[in-house]
Amino acid sequence: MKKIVNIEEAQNKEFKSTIVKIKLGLGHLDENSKVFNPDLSMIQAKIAEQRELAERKWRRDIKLFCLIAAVILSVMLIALYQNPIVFAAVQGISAACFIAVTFFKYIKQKVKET
Amino acid sequence: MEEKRLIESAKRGDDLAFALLFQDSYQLLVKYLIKVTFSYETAEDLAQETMARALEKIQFYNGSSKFSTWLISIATNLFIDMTRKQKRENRYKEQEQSIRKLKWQLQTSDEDWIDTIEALGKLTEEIRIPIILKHYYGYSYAEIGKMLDIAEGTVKSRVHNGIIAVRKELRLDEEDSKHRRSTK
Repeated sequence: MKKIVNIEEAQNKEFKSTIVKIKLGLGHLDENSKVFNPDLSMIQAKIAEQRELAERKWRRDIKLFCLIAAVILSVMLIALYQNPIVFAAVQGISAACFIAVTFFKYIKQKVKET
Repeated sequence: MEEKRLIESAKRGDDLAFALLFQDSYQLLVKYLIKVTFSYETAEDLAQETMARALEKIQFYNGSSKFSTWLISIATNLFIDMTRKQKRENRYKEQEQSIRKLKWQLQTSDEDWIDTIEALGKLTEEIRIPIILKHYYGYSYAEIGKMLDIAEGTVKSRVHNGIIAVRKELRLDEEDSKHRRSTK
């Protein structure tokens, strides 16, 4: 029993010395890396640039969403009035896909938790 | 107190408050990224990307951790995403090149600490990052788990295996066994 404790103690000591080496190495890297704080006005300019980019992206996404929604809605309405069987089939497939995806996500979450 | 006030203002869309918060954490963030990427250029690029992401997500920041910790968490995930997009082989080559360049930039090649940095560089990001966060920045296993979205036990085993790998790389096991034999 005593021997086991000694081996554990020795291993802990060895680990501690490695951690000290890692800390020293990273500390030296920190000391030798010269990083200058950017000017406040420069950060503000970058923020303004980011905001503009985000707004452009949002506008593009909204346009794309409207276009896709219009296409889907048109196809569905045409199917409903011209061929109700196809319309019912599309509805059924969509519902089945939704259930399958939700079930798959639930299982994945459970596996992750365990 | 000041940080909380600035965070509230930033959440309301005050860009100056956000800029002040970011400026305050910039050095810490870039220095952390240098340790993780071993490249000044990549660290600075990632810091900028982190700023953009933080600006986008500031509404979701709940203030349970320090602002700098939140930025580190965003930067880490951006770096992991970036490396996942690269092929494994290319990644190792790039990593080696980065360390060589870093050595040249620091103008050191014969110092002991650079060996430790090289040993850390040979680890994968999944192992190196938890070691740096745990043993250099002092985050708890639970905090690191939250940052990387992995279980606490996984963080513990990655840190443990990483330290064993560093020991092997630095040949510390051989040194210790020699030392033990000589003291017997």
